[in-house]
Amino acid sequence: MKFNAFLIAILALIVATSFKIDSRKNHSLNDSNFLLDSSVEIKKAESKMESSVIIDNDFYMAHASQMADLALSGRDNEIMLVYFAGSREGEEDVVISQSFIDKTTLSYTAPKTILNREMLSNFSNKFIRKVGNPLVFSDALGRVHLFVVGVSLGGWATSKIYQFEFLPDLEQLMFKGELHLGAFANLSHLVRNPPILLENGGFMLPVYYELANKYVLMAFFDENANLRFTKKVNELDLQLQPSAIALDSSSCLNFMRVSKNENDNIAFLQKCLDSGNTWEEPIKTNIKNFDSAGVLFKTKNGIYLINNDGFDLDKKELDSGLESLKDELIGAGLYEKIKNKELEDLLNKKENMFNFNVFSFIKKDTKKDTNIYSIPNRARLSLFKLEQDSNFKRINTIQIANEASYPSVVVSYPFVFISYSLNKNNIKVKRLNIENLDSSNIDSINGANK
Amino acid sequence: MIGSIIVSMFICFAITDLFKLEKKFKFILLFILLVAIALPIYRFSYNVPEVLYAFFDSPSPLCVILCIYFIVNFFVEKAPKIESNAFVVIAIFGFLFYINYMGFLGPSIYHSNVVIQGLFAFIFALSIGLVSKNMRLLIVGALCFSALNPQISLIESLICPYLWIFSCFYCLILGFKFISKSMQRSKNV
Repeated sequence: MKFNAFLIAILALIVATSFKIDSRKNHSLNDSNFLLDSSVEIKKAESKMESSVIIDNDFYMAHASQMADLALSGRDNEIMLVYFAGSREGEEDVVISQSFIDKTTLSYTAPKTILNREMLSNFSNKFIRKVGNPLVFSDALGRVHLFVVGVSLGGWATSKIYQFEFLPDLEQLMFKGELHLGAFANLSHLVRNPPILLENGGFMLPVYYELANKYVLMAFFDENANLRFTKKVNELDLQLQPSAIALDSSSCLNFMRVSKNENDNIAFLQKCLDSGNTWEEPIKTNIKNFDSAGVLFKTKNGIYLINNDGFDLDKKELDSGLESLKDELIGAGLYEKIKNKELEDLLNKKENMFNFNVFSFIKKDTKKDTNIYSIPNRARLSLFKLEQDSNFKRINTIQIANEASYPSVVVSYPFVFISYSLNKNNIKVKRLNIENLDSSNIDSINGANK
Repeated sequence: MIGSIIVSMFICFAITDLFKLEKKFKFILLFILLVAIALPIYRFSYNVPEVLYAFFDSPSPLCVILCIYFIVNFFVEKAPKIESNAFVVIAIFGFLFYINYMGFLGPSIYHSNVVIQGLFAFIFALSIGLVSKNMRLLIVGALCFSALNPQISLIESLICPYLWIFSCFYCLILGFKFISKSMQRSKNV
């Protein structure tokens, strides 16, 4: 083939293909507004009591729960909960479990397996070694979507995202396909937090690339839930598990998990404009994120963040925390010992003598002052409220445990429902009254701990 | 999946080609290898193409066309060979593209708009075409795939991990050959 002919041919093909791709992706622009508050007020909210429930789990491990408000799907009083459960994270017996929760009574259906690795293998015609991170949500047209990550080779960093849609009974799945998000064998894309819904029935799904530098992407879907295009929203490194919420019909806010100890663990917030087409530079917050999933949510009272705040607890805070856990500690026979300042002696002995789930996490930090106790990063799950542009105020403790992590939120007035992994053995769902969220009374929250 | 089957077949042909055997034995070896890749791997219900597809996704159209070209070359002895420089260009561009994609080098080309992607694809295709006359038609063929199926982006029609890794190995072998030749020459001098 002559060079001139080759040059003309590739030029013509590239221009023609670019036009064709561009017309399909509609200039890689999102042309639909964000759907604002999709929550429906609970009609039978007789009780305004805060309450919680631990979902029965037949497996040793349960993790990474996600909830979907089914109000948009015509089941106003129900929440769908999904999570992965098995003998251990990444094991072959891990399944995606589903349960329906009644918003009023917090009663729930027995968890049912809706997907496992064999089923995903059959759906996708690919060898799947493990499954995880289920994400479920209802779109503006009432359809309920499920995304899961599946791994064929290696660890989570080689995951691919698989897309499903629930059939109207909300129990059976229809496989939509594997999301093609990357150039390198489509490896290492994961999903964790729910999307921002679009008015046209589409959605903007936050996903992340976990191999090497780890970065955040927004995937835009059309009204038929087909992937249109992806946008890399910033040039920050080592950012994972973005959580995005709509501020109004055209702007949004995105919070990201910090991987490893990047930037001294300082978490970033990023604002989008023009329905996700324009992204401002990320700004530093006063929040430290120690490589744990966080979630943003919005109520009529403001913008909130649930985040694991690894922290150094001083003696005063510890004492105040102990008072709030008095009942549990008495039950464990530890309260008097702690009040009599025997805790330090106990801590100086073998750490593993503390099998009790509240205290096993308290470790004395020998490098620091003797009165400082170091709490592992995922031991406390806290609620923060956004006060200024990037400043959050810590307002409450949601849970203290060996591990309380991977929060998910559904706002359904007058409540906010929060699900999270409890010691990675169970999923706990907590219902809090939106009006009481700003209360800084730690006792009331720990009261809801029980 | 078809792409993965063709790549697997290419591997069989390439392995057979490594051995200097009589034609009859070559075909026996080829037949054995082709049967082997079609059978499920021991204690694993998937065969080689299925495993390749699960792990590394579909190969790029250029990679598939090149594999077909090599397979045809196996039977047609006087067919023109692909110039080595083409693989050097693929290895270099692939390295730059994947490093960029992984977030190590500048803003992402893959996640940018079609103009930037098109520009990169054009420079890439042009560079290969400049150093390899025999690759020109294959590149046009690969771009036709992308034109017919917009799900395959322009860049992904020209490069994939299979082709890039193959090109890197090819360059490595070329490098070793060059060094050993240079050493022999210096010994002779």
